[in-house]
Amino acid sequence: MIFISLLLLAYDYGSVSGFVTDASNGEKLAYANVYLENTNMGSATNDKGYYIIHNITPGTYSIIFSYIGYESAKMGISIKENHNTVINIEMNPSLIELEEIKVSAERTRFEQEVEVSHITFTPREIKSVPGLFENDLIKTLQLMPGVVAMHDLSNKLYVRGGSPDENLVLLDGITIYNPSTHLFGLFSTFNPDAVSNAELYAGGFPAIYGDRLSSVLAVTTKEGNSKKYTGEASIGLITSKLMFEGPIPKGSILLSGRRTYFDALVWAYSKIKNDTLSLPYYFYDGIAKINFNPSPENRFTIAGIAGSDIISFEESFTNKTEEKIDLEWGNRGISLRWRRVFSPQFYGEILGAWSNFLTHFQYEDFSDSTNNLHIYEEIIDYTGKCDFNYFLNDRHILACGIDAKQLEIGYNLNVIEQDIIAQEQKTHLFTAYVQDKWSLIPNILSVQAGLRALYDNTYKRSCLNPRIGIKYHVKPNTALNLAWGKYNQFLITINSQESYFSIFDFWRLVDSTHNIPSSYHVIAGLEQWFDNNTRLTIEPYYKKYYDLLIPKEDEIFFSTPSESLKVANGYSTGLDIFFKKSFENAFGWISYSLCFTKRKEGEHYYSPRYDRRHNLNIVFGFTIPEYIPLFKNGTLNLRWYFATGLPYAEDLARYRYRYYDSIEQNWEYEWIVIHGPRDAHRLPLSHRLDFHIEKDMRIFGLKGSWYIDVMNIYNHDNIAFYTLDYDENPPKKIAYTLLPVPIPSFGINLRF
Amino acid sequence: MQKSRRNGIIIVVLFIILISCEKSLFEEYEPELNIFCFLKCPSLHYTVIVDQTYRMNEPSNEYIDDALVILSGPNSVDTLQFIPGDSAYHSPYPLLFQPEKTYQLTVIKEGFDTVIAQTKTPGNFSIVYPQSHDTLTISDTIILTKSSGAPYYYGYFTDENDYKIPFWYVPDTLDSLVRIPIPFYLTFAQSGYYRIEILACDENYYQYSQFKPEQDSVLQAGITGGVGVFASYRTRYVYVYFVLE
Repeated sequence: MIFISLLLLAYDYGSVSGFVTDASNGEKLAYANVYLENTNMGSATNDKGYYIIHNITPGTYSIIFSYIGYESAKMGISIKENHNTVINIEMNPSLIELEEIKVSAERTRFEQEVEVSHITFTPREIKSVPGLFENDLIKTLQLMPGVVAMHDLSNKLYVRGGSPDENLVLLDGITIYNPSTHLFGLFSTFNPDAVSNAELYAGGFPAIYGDRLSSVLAVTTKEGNSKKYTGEASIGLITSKLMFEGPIPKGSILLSGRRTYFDALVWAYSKIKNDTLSLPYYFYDGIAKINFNPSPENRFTIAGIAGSDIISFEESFTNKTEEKIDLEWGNRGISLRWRRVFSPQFYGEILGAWSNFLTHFQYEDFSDSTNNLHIYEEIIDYTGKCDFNYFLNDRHILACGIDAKQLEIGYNLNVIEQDIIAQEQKTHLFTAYVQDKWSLIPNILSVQAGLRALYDNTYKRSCLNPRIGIKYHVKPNTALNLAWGKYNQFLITINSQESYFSIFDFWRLVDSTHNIPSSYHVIAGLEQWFDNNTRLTIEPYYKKYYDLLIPKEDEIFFSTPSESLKVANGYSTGLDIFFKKSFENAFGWISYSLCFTKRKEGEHYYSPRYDRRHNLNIVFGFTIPEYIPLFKNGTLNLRWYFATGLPYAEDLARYRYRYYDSIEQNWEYEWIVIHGPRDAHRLPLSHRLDFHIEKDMRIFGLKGSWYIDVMNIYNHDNIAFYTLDYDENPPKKIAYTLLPVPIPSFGINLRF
Repeated sequence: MQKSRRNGIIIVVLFIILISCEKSLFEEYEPELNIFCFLKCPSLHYTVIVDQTYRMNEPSNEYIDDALVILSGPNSVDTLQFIPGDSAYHSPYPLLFQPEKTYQLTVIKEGFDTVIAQTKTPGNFSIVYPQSHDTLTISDTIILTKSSGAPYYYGYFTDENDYKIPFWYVPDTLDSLVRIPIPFYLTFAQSGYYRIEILACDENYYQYSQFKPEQDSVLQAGITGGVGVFASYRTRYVYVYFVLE
């Protein structure tokens, strides 16, 4: 009835809708302002660049599109009764700094959306953060409130006391199961050159997302320039990158790739010097995207990602290969998306995606095949998904969708061509959700309520995940947020999420002997805008966990979950503060996180190893003034990081464990360490300062830039862990740091 | 004035939060005695090594030579003597351990908690199959008579190079015999002569042999008030020829 009444209310009025894009490259413009001159009627584009203004009295109007950083566009329109007028507009960039565009979008988002714990990143922000050898998206996310890193080189996301396997990571709709695997976990799969934006929901995420307990990271690659052919090339210390984008008939294409090149340099050096020196490791990745728009209402997008880390070497004696070792791991995925505007009020997307993460190890002994060994571990995800949005009127936006997923997990140990272990898990997960964003009191009180239902076909289990968010604008510049939601996760990992170093996760389905892990989020937030460029958010939160499945210490990779997992409950609670300000030639932010994380096994509570109590990041970037030679008009970005130590088990004592050595035919002993409680001690405070300087230049007639990064400028020893040297009596405690000296890196970028 | 005071208070509170480190749960570790003793039945000789656990910041010694070590059995109570050449405590005279009896070891040393350890010796058993010089294949089963009082069996194949391939077996409680399948990992061994030695052992021995130094922290196999192992076992062995099919 309410639905019909609302429809009737809209009767006799007209509407206007369309897409807003960048005239220079065809990229969508999210959260651009659209309003009718001399009225109080207006709207903003959503994250797809789509807008609609309802309930317009028939007549002629001037419609104005505005977006800081772009020239405003104004045109006359005629609104007819019961008719929608479609206005698709391309906006021309102005010469204002891009950072201001972002602030405008954030501000509009603040006014439009009911969401908490949400952060959006642009490529500019990702590239402005100092990096180890090169920029990385995950490293940038670690500067945000609620996100902590375990150590200076960590490239995993621990979000509000959650472990990395509790984060849903999507790249153009493709689920990425191991996002940080390059160079043994130092770099993420996302080539920052190809990224258009990245959105992180640190908690309280809406019903459109699911199957993870903590957070969502949705990365969108660039659409590809639909106006002209452009490209970028760069060479850094570790990788070289190439990106190409340009128009195709009724669409655009983007191709991007990167590869480490040290192995090729070593190979070339060996050839020149007639040496046998070799570096048996490299990684590569590539992203491709094709957009095809046969009509304004239809858009087809194919996106793909492929990447691998490869170690391969042969042992040769007397010019004959004796042994060969191959190790390879990597992500692959492809998605096909069809977006259709069925009517001005109703549009939807249909997505088909395939995602795969494969780990493969092979040892071949050519002199004795009985030593041959072959191990592989793989997860394959087939996803079919439909999402629909219905702009019912200016008070309600409905969203709904269904999602069918086939998951296949295989792991195999093969010795002498015999399968010692060959196991496979397969299931179908079905999901449906509905969501309504309801503007109860326009511009003052909004509610977003949703429900997500999940069903596991193999074990015949289902879950209901209700979610609700409330936004109350106390003043035009001040809003209070409240969010509550339930979350379930059908997939778990059987390798420890507390390891200081891990390259990839081994995923398993939760079997019938365990309950589905679940979490509840409660988040209350204050968002204050002091002016259009200054924003403060304060968010206390509480997250309760049930039925977490935690690997036992010995991490049995080739066992079933019921054999290798412990059940735990737990909670994490804390406070995130984020303050961001932009000036004409400078920008910066301060993020602070206070977090208490506990897990409970039996009746015993403990702090997991990633329980970092205080985490502070200060980022400041500015344009170097003209009076400074060499660097004038360049940009300098500084990042200072301060954090309290992580918990660890102190070694309390040692004793001799005696055993019979059957080879030496004698009784021997080794020292056994008696560890203290796993969280009784904390590592010392960590802090460091990094900088990134970048300056435009021209080389061979091409525009470009050079950059220099230095990590840990003042060379502070951030201790990552301790070991004991038993050659000394008593044993000597040795502290290890991962950045023992300031680490410089540099590179150049070229645009053509 | 009021505003700056308020800001000052906020800054001080934030500073206190920021610098407050975690309260340490660490308590001073008290060293304990570390005992190592196996009673082999029906052997006459045995030794007890008395050592201790050491705090990480204190140097270690080889052994403790001034403890009071008492072994009590069903019909005897003996105070053991430290023999410096062996770095261990011995009984002043040979002692024949009786099957299925409980023996208790008491170790007293000033400054340490007293250790009390107990083991129950396993009963007799014999190897029914294979007999010495039999030929064995991977599909065969080793058959034993049951040793009363021995909940576990431990054994190992020793090849001509003295390389040992161990195995464990927990017998079926309803079966009067113990039937141990040849371990599947002998598939990777080579054909040849092997010595199969089987130990019927008490629970303490099993606990000791399952201890993983790289994972476990405290070994307390039959020991209370300290760490280490006090266990008993009985052995039988045969020589066989093993053929890979």
